[in-house]
Amino acid sequence: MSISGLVVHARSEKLAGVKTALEALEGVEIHAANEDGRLVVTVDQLVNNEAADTLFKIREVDGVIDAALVYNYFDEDTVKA
Amino acid sequence: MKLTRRDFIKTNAAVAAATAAGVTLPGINKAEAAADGIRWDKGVCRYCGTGCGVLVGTRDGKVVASQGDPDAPVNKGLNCIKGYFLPKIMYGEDRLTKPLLRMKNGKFDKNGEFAPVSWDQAFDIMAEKFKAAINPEDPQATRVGMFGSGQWTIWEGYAAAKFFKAGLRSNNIDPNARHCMASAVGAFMRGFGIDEPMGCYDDLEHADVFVLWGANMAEMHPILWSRLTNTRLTKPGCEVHVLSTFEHRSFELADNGMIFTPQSDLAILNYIANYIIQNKAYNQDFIDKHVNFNATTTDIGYGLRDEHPLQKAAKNPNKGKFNKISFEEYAKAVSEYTLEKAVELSGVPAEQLERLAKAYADPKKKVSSYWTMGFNQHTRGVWVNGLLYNVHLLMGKISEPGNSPFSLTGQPSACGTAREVGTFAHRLPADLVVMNEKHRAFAAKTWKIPVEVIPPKPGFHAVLQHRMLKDGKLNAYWVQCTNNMQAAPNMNEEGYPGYRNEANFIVVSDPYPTVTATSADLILPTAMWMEKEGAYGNAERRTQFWRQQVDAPGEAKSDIWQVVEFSKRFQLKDVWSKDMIAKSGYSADKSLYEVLFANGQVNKFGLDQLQKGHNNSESKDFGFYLQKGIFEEYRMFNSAEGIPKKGHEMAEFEVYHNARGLRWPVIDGKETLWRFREGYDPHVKAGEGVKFYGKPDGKAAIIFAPYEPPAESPDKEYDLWLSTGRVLEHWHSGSMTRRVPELHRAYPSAQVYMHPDDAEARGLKRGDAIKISTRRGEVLTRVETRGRNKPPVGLVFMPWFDESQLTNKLTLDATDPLSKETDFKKCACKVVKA
Amino acid sequence: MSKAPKSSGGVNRRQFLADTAKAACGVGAVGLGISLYADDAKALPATALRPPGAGPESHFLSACVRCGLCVRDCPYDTLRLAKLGERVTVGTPYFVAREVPCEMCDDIPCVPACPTGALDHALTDINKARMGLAVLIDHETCLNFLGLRCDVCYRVCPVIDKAITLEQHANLRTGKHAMFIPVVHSEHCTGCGKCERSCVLEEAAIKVLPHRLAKGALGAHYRLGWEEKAKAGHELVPGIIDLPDRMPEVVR
Repeated sequence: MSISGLVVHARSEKLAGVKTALEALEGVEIHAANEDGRLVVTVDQLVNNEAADTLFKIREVDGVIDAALVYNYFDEDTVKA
Repeated sequence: MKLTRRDFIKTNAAVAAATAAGVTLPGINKAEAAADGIRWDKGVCRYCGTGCGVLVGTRDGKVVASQGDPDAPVNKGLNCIKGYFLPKIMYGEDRLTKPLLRMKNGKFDKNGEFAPVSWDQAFDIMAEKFKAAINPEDPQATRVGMFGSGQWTIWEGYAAAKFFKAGLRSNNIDPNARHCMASAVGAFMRGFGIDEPMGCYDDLEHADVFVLWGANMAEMHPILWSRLTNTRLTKPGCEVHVLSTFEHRSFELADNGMIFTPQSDLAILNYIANYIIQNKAYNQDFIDKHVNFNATTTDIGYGLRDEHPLQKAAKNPNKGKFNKISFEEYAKAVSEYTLEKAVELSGVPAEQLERLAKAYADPKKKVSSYWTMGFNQHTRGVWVNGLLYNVHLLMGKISEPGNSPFSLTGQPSACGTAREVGTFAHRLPADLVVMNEKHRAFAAKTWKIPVEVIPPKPGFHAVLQHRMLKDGKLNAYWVQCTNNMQAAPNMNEEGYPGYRNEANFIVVSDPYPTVTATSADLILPTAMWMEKEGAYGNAERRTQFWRQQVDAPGEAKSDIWQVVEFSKRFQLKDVWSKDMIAKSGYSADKSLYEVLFANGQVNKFGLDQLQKGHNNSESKDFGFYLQKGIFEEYRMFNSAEGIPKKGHEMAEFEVYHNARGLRWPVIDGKETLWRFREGYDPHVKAGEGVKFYGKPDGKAAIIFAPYEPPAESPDKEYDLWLSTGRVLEHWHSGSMTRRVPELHRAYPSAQVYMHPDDAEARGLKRGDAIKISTRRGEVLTRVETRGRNKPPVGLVFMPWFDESQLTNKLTLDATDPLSKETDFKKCACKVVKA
Repeated sequence: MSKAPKSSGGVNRRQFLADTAKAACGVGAVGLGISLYADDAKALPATALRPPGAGPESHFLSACVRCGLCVRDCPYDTLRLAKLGERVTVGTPYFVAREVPCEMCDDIPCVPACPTGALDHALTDINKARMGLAVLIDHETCLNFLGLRCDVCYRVCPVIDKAITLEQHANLRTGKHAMFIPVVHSEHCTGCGKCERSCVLEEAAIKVLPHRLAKGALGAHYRLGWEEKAKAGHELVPGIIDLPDRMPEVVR
């Protein structure tokens, strides 16, 4: 499994749309969102490569300025299990 | 369980992201999450003698994280690249988890294949073989032995030495520190009458001049090197001199880098002494009060087998006796070593040698000298160590901040274990020796055994053990915590034939199937590092403890458990003579376990005293706090009233569990940084100034020794010098570091470093496959003409970490006749295209 | 034992390689008629390094006939031919430093093997090869920047002390250790990739990049005054005078 913690910066005026779009992505969970457009997001994926895909999908969401990976946990055992 | 863990990690991920963004997370207890389930505790690095403090992070019974301890005085949170990957050394894919015995048709067979057996079966066959090699009535007929380690914890070394010397009545126990530190020990004992350096790492900040004699600190002691470098960068006028037989990474910082012809360090040091005397630079007051002059016996051979021509040619083979001479006689002896002669023998330009001599002779400059294997692995290792002390003693530049001749160590507990608890073939705990009747009597009294049990003659040392195995005079042999088949010299002619000799039964305890383990008859799976409670003593006399963090995998057991458990297999009547048993007052049926370990001292402390929150696998098995009992019995040798030799005092067991390591002697709750000097060392009384109290007269010995040639030099056929050693990325035989994928990738295979002109003369291109050979064996490898080491024309360097290229098939088992330490730095070889 | 997660997927997708302009004329030379892959030729991934002696990518692509002889003659299996589906033009030789770096053979066997001059036969000294340039990309994770003693990249460098040197700085945090900062010098770095290969981090902090990505360029108009003066051996504008400063007697 792979669990990542991200800080997403979005345009504040598009925050609502960004939140909806992010929540639609598989494995993405929004933990907090500031009015100025900063969001705390985790991405939970079984395979590491998919996490990277999701990261790029987040960047492509309309209104997202940047998504920065802050924390990454990668665990091979759980993949086998 | 899986779900909660996942949620837990997710929470951490969110907290980390929120912290970075400065966003508040609703509904999450930050303190709980920040702990991320990792328990941190203090530990010590598993590798070299620097003794870096580390913090070890454990979760779910596994070491999952590590960091340099930011408050450890040695390293302040830093690590070298090996230390960075410490947790991974325990989790190699081929960890051994069951005893393995060579078997055919369900029975032990020397030529059988390894098959798993139970611990009971393992100890059964082992006890049978050991008992067959012991005759209780005739100690001469006892043919058991053990090879131990400077990587043993303090109590492991103590337990093993006691088991052999006080139980099996054999002094045939020796540590791998014989390959590493024995020459340094010899010189300490001859010069000062007490082992280990007078200074400490603080000298790295206090000195004005640093001199490296056969030490590549840049690679082998990386964290100490960064301290030395910082001083060089920040202290005005600080200079660094580096001497070696080839150019290595430490030359990068050298203000005066010198490449000398192998063995000529003897001449250079005598030249420096001569320079000091000729220029009347010596410290007359210091010499008058604190030094006496001596000359050592010369022409002492090369520690080879007695029938070797070089041994027969020597006038005084293996003689270490030295006699008092006057200052004038000493001055005359060194006067032969003029600058011209030193230049001629060493090949170092005159102005560079003179610059070095001036640095030592300048009374205003504080000089610290460092050395490791270039000095110690030397057929005149004790001499060359001593010649350096001569220079420091002539100037009085010793035992004070910045003035420090300092012998660095290569193993984490070469000092704390191998040297201090008496694992050498001639030693007893705390600098006592088996040859001394009073020392034996004191040890016997402390151990509550008859004095006759301890043999008065030194046993077989490391190199001799392999010779005796080959000759069939050592038949039951146990190796713990070291990879000596790969590490010992002349493997083809001595080590391997010795192990595979039909007359012998070889047991190897190791976490991994090393070259040594796979050459054995029985392999015992061993718990390592944080899988047991431990203690190491580093090069600056610092004793450091750690608690057991995790349990060992499978049936792996620590070295100390193996020794103590195995002692249950012997009754006194199996090992002691009837007279001894009668004298001891013990019943003949009593086991060695009862006599040596459940003796009312070692088993004095109950399980209630174990470290809270930590397992202690051994103690729980035996029912008492084993490590504490051993350490407190050991303290009866170094800290009790009426001990034969003072100077090694240690604090109580619990103090070390609460401290980041303490430098002995520890007296009245204080560490000792500089020994032998008033104010720093509590053994020196007010008004004495300096006192070398290891010697009866309180004076250090300056011992003259001449230049004598090496055992083997290049000739027409074998036309190159071969020097062997280490690289930063791998530690010793690579049995741990080669199991860390990142370190393996960083330096995957050994290679031979060669001067481009030597390569061209042999028609070799960089990277070509080559065959390097000596009179003893050959190895296929590749040639490297670039990179980190730049040998001069006529010398090649090959690291020995790579088990697929066994460098020690090539080396000569010539040793220093006094220290019995092998010269791994000099023999003759040739290189051809493969 | 946990293995480093394979990074290939993620890294490629980052596409910090979009150097479309340079590869533009190479597209015409593909000539395989598989338009599906034509786009890939535009974007040679930053991790794909060309063999020694390869010129600018456009020139190389037009001269390379995809014969594979250089790959055949590489004694270390460093070089490989791009296959269908890879992001490198099909049939052209390249290597990935993190996987198998160039061993810098003295006789450079791959170069004379080239029948067309796509690999420049004038390259006879491997030290003059410029396959890429090592860049210490991440100062935050590089262990030596943290004060640890790794410097593996430095010690494995075949051109040690020239292509990579260690600059010593005081470690202000500990107060008693030095830091050894690896510095790459482009005039000596061949781009062999040994440093990237051996970086012990899970993702290398030092990477070999094509020169076009790795190097900055000074504006053509600007010269370094101290170098120009040294080159000329005198001030560039001769005859400029300076009047003495008036000072009190005591100071004088």
